Amino acid sequence: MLTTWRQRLPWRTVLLAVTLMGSWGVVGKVWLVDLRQPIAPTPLLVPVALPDAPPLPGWQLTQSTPIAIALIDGSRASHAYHFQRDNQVLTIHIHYLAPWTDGNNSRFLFVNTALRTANAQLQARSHPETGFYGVLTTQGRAYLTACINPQGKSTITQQQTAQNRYTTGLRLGRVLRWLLGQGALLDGRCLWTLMAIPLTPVPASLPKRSEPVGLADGLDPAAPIAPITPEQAYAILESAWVPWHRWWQEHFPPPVPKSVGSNSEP
Amino acid sequence: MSIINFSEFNFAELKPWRMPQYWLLGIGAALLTLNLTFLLRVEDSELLGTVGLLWLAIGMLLWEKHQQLSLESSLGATVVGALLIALVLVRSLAPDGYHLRISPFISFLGLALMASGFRGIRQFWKELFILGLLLVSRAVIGLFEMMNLALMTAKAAAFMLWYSGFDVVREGVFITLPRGRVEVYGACSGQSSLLQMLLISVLFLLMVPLRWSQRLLCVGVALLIGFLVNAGRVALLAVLVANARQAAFDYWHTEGGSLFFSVISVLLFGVFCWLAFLRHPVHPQGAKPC
Repeated sequence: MLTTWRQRLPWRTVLLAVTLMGSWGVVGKVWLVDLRQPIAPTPLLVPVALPDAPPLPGWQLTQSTPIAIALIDGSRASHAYHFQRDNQVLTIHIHYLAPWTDGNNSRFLFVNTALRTANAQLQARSHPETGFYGVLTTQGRAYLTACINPQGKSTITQQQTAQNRYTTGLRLGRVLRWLLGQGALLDGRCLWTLMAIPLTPVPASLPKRSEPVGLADGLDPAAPIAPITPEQAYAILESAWVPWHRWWQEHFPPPVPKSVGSNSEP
Repeated sequence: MSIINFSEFNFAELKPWRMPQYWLLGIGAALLTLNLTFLLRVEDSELLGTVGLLWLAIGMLLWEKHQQLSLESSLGATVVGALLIALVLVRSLAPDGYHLRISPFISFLGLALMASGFRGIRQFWKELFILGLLLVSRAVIGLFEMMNLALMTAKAAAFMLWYSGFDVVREGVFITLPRGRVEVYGACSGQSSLLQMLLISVLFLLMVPLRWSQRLLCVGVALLIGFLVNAGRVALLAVLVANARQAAFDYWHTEGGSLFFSVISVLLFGVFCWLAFLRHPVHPQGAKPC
């Protein structure tokens, strides 16, 4: 009997037996080791530093500070930039939403900013080079909002963002790596940009950073400056938006690893 | 079925460990346990419900034919199957290594290869198709995202409200009632309910033989029911917001409430299937045997 058993030990039984033991071994390990452990505390997210001084042609950077308060959406890095040009003050907030966001700018405004219900007035616009962006005016300020995507056009709605991701991001290499569990199927990051400009320009007598106080432009500082219309404000915002988008898409911050508790794909 | 050589037939030699089915059953149980463990850990009740339903359907399909299965496998197929299973197992050891939509498919594929080889894997086409749907479900959701489902849902919900006599205005995906407003996006746009109805209708089709025209009707009606029930839910949520019933809104917006609507969709679909196909269970002309 022993000789027969040894001679006729089928390879199939051996492979099946090994697979059985291996699979139950892994189940055992997962149950006994992984589940018994307390949920690991959220590891300290490595802070991503956004550039301090991005260039914006025609504008002068007057202030650049990181924003410490985290958004409800969970941004990996937030930064506030203040630019000035003649009598215009432009404020830009940029939030690095990673590793994944739905790209719904209307909801961003409602949930994360003081604008809240003003989001209903968001007008969708489109620019041939950069893509979609949204503008609105509320309480004396004009805003421009959009998601700068790592590739492709800028977007403001979930649908546009999804479309952009699928058309620019779906590559065979990515799909294969996804099947092997290395990384997500799509690049779900976005740099949410919110630009704001007051409709009432700041008087020119405010000293510029590098020029001496005085009648540099030959203007009488006491004379009132006329407020601009929303359309004029939008034109200014758009003129700043195009080079802004171009620069940031070329200098997109590095991807962040997925961590427990961060936004992840549904 | 194992081939028993009658000249050697001897009860003392009937060794269960020689018969592949017991090993396969044991491996299958382990892989299923692994899947359910990770599923329960994630605490996504929607995915749990969907995958649970899929496993139930697969179990039923396998049970129906388990007597007729051929369990002959070649060395190559067994090795490939074992490697696939090993891939899943090794990845499970890493944190977050088990992918809830991909790993079930690969596990089952590996097991099927070990069971019946490359030739016999056709016996499992239905089960593999079901798990394959799970695999591509993410892409299906992406398709829905690109279709601007939110806008269609908003239109349908606004229509329902208008028809019921409410003073409703729709601007894009915003539904505005006199004292409240909702914005339709993301989960509310109906993606998950459509996906669920798609899966359920496909499961139904794999079990019941129907003509192709009936199959298309079945899937179409399932999607329509899912869409309309979800639009109704959005309409209800809008009314709750307009009447400042925040607690009720929260309930119907999240887990408990949306589960209720999924159940309604499935029941409606069940009633439709009963009336349309199952009431007269005569084998329809021209239906391909499953």
